[in-house]
Amino acid sequence: MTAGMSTASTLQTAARVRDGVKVYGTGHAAVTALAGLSVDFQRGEFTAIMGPSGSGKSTLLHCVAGLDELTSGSVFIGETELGLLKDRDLTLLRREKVGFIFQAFNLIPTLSAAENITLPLDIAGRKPDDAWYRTVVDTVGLGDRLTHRPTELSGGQQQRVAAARALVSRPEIIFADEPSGNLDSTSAGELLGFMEQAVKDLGQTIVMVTHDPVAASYADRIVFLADGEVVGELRDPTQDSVLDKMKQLGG
Amino acid sequence: MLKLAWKGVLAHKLRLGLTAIAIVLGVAFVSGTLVFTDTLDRAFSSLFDEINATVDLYVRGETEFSNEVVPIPAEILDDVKEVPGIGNAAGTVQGFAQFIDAAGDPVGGQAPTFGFSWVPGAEDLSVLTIKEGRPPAASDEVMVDAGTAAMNDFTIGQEVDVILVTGTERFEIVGFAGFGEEDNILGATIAIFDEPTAFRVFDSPGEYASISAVGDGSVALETLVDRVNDILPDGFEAVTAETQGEDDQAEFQEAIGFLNTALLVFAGIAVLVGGFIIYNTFSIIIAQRMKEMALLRAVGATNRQVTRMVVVEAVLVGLVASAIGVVAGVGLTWLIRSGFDAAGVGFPQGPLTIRPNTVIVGMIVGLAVTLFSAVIPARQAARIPPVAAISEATVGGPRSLRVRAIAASVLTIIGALVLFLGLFVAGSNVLQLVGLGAVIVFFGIAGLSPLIARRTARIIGAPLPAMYGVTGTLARENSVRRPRRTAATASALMIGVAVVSVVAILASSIKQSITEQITQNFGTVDFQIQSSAFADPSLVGVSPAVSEELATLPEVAVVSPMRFGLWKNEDDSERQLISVDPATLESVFVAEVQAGQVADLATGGVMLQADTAEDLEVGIGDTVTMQFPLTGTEQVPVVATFTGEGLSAYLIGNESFSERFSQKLDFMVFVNLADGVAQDQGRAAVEAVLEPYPNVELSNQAEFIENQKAQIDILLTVINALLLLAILIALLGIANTLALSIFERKRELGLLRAVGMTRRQVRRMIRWEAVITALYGALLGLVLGIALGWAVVSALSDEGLSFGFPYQLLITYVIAAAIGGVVASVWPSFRGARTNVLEAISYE
Repeated sequence: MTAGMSTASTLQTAARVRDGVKVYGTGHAAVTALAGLSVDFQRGEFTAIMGPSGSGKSTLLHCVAGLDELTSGSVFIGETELGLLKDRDLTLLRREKVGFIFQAFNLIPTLSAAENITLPLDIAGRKPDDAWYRTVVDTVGLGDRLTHRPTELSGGQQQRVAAARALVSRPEIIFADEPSGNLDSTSAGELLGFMEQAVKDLGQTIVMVTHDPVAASYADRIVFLADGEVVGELRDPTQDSVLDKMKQLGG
Repeated sequence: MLKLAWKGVLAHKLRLGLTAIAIVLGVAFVSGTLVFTDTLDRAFSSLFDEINATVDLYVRGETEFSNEVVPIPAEILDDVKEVPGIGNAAGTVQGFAQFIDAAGDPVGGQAPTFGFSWVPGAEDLSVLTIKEGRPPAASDEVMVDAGTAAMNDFTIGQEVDVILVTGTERFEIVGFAGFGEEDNILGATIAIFDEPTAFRVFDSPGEYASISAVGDGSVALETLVDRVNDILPDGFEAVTAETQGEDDQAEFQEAIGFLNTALLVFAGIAVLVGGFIIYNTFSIIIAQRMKEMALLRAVGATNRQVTRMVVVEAVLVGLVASAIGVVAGVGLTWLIRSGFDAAGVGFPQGPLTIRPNTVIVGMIVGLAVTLFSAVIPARQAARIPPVAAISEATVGGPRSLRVRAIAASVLTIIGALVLFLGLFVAGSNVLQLVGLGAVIVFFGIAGLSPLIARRTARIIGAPLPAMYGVTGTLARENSVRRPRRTAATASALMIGVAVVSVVAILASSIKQSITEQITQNFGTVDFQIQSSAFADPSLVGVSPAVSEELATLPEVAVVSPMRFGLWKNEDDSERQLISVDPATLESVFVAEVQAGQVADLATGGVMLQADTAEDLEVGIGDTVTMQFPLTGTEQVPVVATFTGEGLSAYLIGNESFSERFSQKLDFMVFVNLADGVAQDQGRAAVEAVLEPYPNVELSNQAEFIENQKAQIDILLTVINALLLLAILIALLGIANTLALSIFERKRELGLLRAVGMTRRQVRRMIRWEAVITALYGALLGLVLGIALGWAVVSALSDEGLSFGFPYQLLITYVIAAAIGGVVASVWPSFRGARTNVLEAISYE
């Protein structure tokens, strides 16, 4: 463990970024995706990150999740500073402390739904906690489809399997990148409801990138980005308040 | 479309590049073989031309036998000299002569060890030239070819021992000779004596191997040849130097042709294996470009145009790779020649011979294989419907396997039938039929293999989940998710392993038969003496002086020398025979005499193996038509028949052999000790006699068996070395398929990395996938190889071959294949582990 700040506030923080700068390319072709932003994600909270295309929301998610590196600044998951980790330690950190839900291609086609759910644990060579596994699986509501391969599941079911996979290893934090982006509104509602429930009932921490105000309204808190900087925040949003805020920021 | 095809090639440089390597290697083998043999051929043809340039005509025996010289009586030379119009004529004496080096080891032996006579005053009429020093002029002088001299640090004035048919003698080296311009010809050693010495040490008094002559210019060459022919006795003829040159050339080409064919067979196997790789690569690339093809169809390309585009891509790849292959083949030959030179084997100098044919054949082979292999993928491409461009689902999934199963089964059965025909029915073209049958079976099994790939690979990979958890499960599942691809990849290795296994089984069967035959049929023999070099039995052997000396030893009771000869049957094809000492045969060779008397061999008759007598439908008192080098065609009476293996189907007596053949060396000498003489005591006595003959080795029964086995092992090693290329290409195929699959699964790998799979685990997963594929191919090949090997051995059981199963060697091959899989996975697994997570999971 790195000797980080151990104030009361950091105990509440699942992940944080300090002065995060991310520049792609060099010279004239250089594009600044993150312009020195700082943000905290609280434990047990469902945070949505919103912003127009090119605002840096996906870059932010990738950097906090340890999938990409900042050009400068620092990222912490819990008390661990990611910038100091080698690939192997970073991989282990993702395995132990982070869960992922991507927009598409979340599942390994050769594994059954159940095997996909326990994949991170299996990779780590750990046994799932039976009671917890059952809780997660029950919440996902796949029933007898657990032994099916991903190709035999609907898009909504696939995303719920992905969510269950993210939950089953009890990570410190789950990152979701447009998880409902490819789903119809009913399936999207089911998935987002499930995520909301995971935070409320199971105490999970979730950070979700989305551009959909409906999806964002499920969150406890919304962070708005533009041009690589945090430009606004909204607590306990509703669809209307999100739209208002977007209009306000856009105008 | 050409432009599109060209762009297609450029866009898939890396993937097609790996395919190209398979073509390059195969074509390089083919064209290298051609360049190699053509270069030899031309070098010798120019050598013959050079030799014959100063000679007008030759006198020779009328019948031609490989490696047998028909001696020409010295009187004929005198008569030829008297023919009006002859300017000069000279005879050359030829025989066996092998040098012993400073360490006491024999020089050469694998390559021929020739002795010649020097003809003073007729240098123009001889092949030999003086490179240094002077020609031999006394009975204790010898000249050696400059190449052998250089290799063995022989110096002029040095004394050297030479093994001869009359015994080993010491000579003083007085000069170095060349063979035309060359210092040495392919490692053959040459010892040159003056004529009287040559007559004596070659044990051919008053006999020449050849007579060459020049005219005095007074008459036309044809007239001169006619005049000489008029005075020659029956059995001899005069021919122009040109005819002799052509005949020498033809004989040489026949020998080269055999080498050429043998090498081309191995090249063919490599090309066949390469074909599977190419087919597979094109199939995979087309599957990966489905969207692109569908888009082309959607914007109006006909399916014929799509097919054509793929075919043109194949042509472009084939052209480039074949061209590189031809160049690589030339480079390969150059390397081999340098290797020969370094080993001191005189490979003719001068430029490598690259005939237009070599380039054409190389290009055609490369192009044809590429095109042929791309046909099915091209048709697959044409079947992609335009809707695939916009649809998410994978269109055109696996087609009915039933059609495939039926077609492949039929093919397999046809192949098996052809094999059966070749092995058990056909009397001629056996090798061609067996080869063709095997190739058809390979294709059939390759076609059937996707049907069992999934199940078999699951079984092979069964222990993996227990060993490596989900990493192992994924490796196993990945290896079976595209059964066709796995099967095609494995098929390439299957062919290689099948051929290697057949060779191993044959070798093992031969070894086992040798052991059985020696213990059964030579069980009473104490010692056996044979050339230590594993070479043509016409060219090496035991000096008869050895038997003579051994017979005088008090410790020795029986000395039974045997000789080896080639005769021709009524169809003019060469057959082998062994000559034996009728008086001692039964004390060294335990055979059941079915009819007749062995002793009657002394009358000039032949003793036949019972099966052969049955085939020929002859019995005691009947005759067999046999043509011999010295005596021509004879009706040889059958004096006895026997059952037993290990010698030859035809046995004649030693005395009649000397009349019928010019071979002066014993092939084998069997020795039994006198009663009461201990083995080691007897051995010491025999070894003392053999001391001057380092070219032969003494062995008791156990050693004899081991020696014979060792010779088979040498052959096995050579064949395996030649098959190595095919195996390498097959492993390249695994690497290629794997790399392409990794590319396809980029997202999946990215996801695995994102959820916490370490690079090491990714590498392990890919490595085991390769191992499963390799093992699947190896096991298929093993099963096929065992079946084929069993069939071949059964077919040869008449020849006394019994099935030997080299299970240790076969297990080694399977393990080697698995290791090969690991090696093949190095690069793909490195690439896979380096998958950029972000790139893999991002989507537009």
